[in-house]
Amino acid sequence: MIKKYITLIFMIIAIPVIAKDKIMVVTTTEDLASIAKSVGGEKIEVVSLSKGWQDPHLVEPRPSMVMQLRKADLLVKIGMDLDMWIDGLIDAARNKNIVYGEKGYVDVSVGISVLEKPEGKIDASMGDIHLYGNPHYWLNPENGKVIGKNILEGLIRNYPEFKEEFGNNYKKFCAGLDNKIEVWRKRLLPWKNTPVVIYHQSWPYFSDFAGLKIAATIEPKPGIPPRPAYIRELIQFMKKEKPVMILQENFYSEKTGKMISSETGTPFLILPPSTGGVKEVKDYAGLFDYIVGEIEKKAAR
Amino acid sequence: MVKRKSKYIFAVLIAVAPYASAYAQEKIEEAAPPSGMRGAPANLPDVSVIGEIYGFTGDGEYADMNKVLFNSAELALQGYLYPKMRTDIIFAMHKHDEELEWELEEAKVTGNQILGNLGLVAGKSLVGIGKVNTLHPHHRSYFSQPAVLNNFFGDHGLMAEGLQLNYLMPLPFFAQVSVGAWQGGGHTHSHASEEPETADILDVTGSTVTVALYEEEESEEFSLAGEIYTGRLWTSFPLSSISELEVGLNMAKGNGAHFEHHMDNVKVQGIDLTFKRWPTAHKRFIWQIELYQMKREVPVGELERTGYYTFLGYRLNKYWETGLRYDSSENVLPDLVETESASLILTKKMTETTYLRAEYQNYSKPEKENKVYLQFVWGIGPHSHPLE
Repeated sequence: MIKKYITLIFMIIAIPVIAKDKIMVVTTTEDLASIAKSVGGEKIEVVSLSKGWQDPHLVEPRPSMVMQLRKADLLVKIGMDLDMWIDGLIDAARNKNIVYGEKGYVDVSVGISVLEKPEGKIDASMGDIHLYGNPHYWLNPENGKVIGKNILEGLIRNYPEFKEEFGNNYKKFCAGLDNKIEVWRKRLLPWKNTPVVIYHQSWPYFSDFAGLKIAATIEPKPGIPPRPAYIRELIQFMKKEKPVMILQENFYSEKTGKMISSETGTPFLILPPSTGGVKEVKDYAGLFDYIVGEIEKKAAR
Repeated sequence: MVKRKSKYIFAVLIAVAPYASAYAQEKIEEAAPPSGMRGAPANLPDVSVIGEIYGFTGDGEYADMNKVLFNSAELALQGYLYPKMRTDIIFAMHKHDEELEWELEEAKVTGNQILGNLGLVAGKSLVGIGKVNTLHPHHRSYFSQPAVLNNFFGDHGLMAEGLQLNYLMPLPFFAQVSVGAWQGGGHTHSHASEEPETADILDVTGSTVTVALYEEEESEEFSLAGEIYTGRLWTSFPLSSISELEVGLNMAKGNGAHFEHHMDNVKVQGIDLTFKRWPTAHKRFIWQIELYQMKREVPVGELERTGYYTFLGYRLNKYWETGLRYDSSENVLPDLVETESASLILTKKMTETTYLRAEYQNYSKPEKENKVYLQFVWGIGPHSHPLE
């Protein structure tokens, strides 16, 4: 009887060890999971802690996430203060491989040409501002290659024996993305240098890629909801400037954007800023297919 | 009208202009450090301040009602002192009997990986028992601490100096065992009389026993003290991709805060349940309950007391959150007093660190009373908490 119990306890304890036949990569977002899967290929298993429909600033840490991190060989994060919710989880997981500065800790912002890095004194009078600059850099598909490179380096650092395979996967990923980028650029040409209004500061990297000019934001400052007086001024401004579209993340309330759109006649596009943000977007390239498609459909020129 | 339009355009441009001028573009050379490594210059710890202003009104009579008052300020210094080992020093200034006093709320070292899955917390800390005791007041979903925690652990929760070991069990689901050995707890108090008044009460066996009575001001400050031993099993089960259930079992053992007068040994056991569901990016439903039973042995008998709170919360969107809490708790004194209240809470989040809260409390016991609190909490500087 005692032997039975000992065997049972041993089996429960051993489950995480026995089940591990692939490199376990845990990412903070689904965009990173998609890119990691492209680079790691069959050698890795990827889990994203947040879903694409969530607001990446406000993911609530859950104890069950600790168990994913406990098993992780690599942790891949956006960095630049976007996914700060991961810090407490890393501490709780007690996995020495994925602690800041260790081999399995991969912050994919390294090498990104960052936009909107604040200079001088920073405080909350500027809204929920990010100290290291705008962290929504994955929304420029060119940055997908930088993200992929960071993941590649992280994988090779830990598993040099698969260097060639990961390297080939990365090249394939970049080639595929480059082809897509060329197509997206062509499709977005009609909107080059046109003014747009955005809700939150998620879209500067995409605008940079597409050549859109951000004329105004519906949030007066990052994270601060607009007041009626500001909305009135914005509507007047938009009537004069005639932006070609309003871009809004699909996790914010549509009410204000819809009202502004109806007052100004500006097409209102609710877009997922991440892979998995809507069911049609199943991978990183699919995110831009969807966004470009929506622009063509709803803000036709 | 043209002039008015120009005025609007100018105003919007003024509003947008700071973004253009205050930002620069540069290449990220290295990863941004995590919380606790963010102070600038680089060798400074993270420094933050959380402040709180409040006011309340109601149908009772209190010296501080119908006023806008400063309630507390918390100064936190947080940083790493060794690989995988951090320190949190938290000073709190709050009111004791209308006098502002500084207090060292926490001064702890946390080692996350002492040996494999084993971590430790050493120093002065909020003790790891239940779900709410470890939360700093600004991190709670309501203004007032639940009555059962006030009655069993003191107005500031169970705080003590010592050591707590946390072991993450190698199981397929989250299960962490914490055991702690502590000293002290409670706040410093003065005894008005060396010979306290006594009262005859019935103990659990039905016999009449004589016990010492507290002064009124002391009755609000009961807590565990002396050598305190605590234990907690914290488990969590994801019920779906958008919901999670946490179950905790808790125990604590120690003396009463006035052991020299009452020679009391105290045992507390409890259970907590938390269910959370996130239907959309910003909406969140939470139901939480903590139930405690206390056994207080005095030389002439034993008192048994129970208390619980249950909280139902719903975050409507990024900015608004509502909640309903019901409290039912017995006090720990020989003269049994029950507290029963229902609270309705509305919180408006202004930024990630600043919020405005209104809380209506309806007491049915010990006497009927209504109170309405308004609370404004703000934060400046990088501030972080462990997984709670």
